[in-house]
Amino acid sequence: MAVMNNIVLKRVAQCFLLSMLLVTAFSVSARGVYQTNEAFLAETFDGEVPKSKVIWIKGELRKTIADILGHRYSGLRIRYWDNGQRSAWILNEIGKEQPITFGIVIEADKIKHVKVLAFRESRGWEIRHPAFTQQFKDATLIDKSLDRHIDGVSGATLSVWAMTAVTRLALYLDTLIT
Amino acid sequence: MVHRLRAWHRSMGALAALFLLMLAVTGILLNHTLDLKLAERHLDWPWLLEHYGVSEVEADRVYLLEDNVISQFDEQIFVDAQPVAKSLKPIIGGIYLGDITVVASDDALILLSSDGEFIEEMGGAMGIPSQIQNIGLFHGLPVLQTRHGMWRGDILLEQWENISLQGVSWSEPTSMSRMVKEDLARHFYGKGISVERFVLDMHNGHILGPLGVWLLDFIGILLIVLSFSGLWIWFRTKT
Repeated sequence: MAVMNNIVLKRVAQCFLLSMLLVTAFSVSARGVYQTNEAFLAETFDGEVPKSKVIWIKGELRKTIADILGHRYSGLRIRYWDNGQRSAWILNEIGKEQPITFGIVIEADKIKHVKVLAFRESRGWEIRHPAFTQQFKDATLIDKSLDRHIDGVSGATLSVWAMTAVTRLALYLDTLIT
Repeated sequence: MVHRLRAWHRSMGALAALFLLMLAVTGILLNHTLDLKLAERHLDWPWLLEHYGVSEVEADRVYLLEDNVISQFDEQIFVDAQPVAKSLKPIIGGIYLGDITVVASDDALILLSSDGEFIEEMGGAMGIPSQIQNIGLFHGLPVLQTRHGMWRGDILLEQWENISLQGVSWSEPTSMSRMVKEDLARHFYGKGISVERFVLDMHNGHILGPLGVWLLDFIGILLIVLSFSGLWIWFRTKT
């Protein structure tokens, strides 16, 4: 009986170690560039990427953006691509310590889709999954807030906040160009 | 016997007195750290900063930017001693383009205002040629040397043409002036060594490293021996 118990304990320990190794390996591999900015734009505009334009961040706009993000935006201008039907925004926002690069597409004042293009944090990568980003589809802005509640992801709270913030920012900036 | 011990006691006592004096003065100072605001006062004597190893900074990369230098420490980019932006990639040079400072990494250009404020990072999605090896100026226009050839841009950095040019003024690696190094050391290490730390290190011997600790141990043992020898001499003299 004691021998059987030892074997079971050994198997459990092996399974635990293996699962920890897999989790660690996956979390390391989860960091990186999922899609280049160029590929994101080519996909968004079916290969016909319009010339980029910029919005200068100054005066009242700087304050409004700080309100949306919850902190001062670290840059004097934001670049976007617009072909008259849809606009694309590539924005960086800090998750916990490192910037996450998001690609956001807006059509008719609504989010068409949002993607994580590059993720550099050690945790919170789950937000890149379509099951999560799907929540933002067709989201629009009401008084600088999203028209819906976004369900969080356990262990990825800061990444979720970052994605929500840049989505609101892109929707707000889109109102300035249309 | 007593005569010889007395002579030894006297000379060792004089030696120990010097250390006792130092321990007493530093001890009193440490007792009144708050009153004397020792933690808020700083010493920036060059020899002391050097002794503590906080006088020197070594940048990962340094490039000449006309009369200034741009440097990178890990992800942080500096123009002279001013922190201006961050880059996850190593920088490979920089130029002044009118009022704008342009710092290049291998796949992006980082734009800074004349006040050193970050404007934006322009990469391949904005038409910047990839695999940049160097950045320079040719008649006031930006030039990039890449693995795929040389590119000349317009003043807005938005249009690039593949071209071959002679006489481009390339950004070059350089060394930092002593003044910039000292300013950067101040940026990294603050105002210097706090008086509290200096006095504490004097008191416990750490100012001389491990040797200082052993030296104070020796002085401690010497004081114990001197106490006994003093008592013994006193006792013998009385009897």
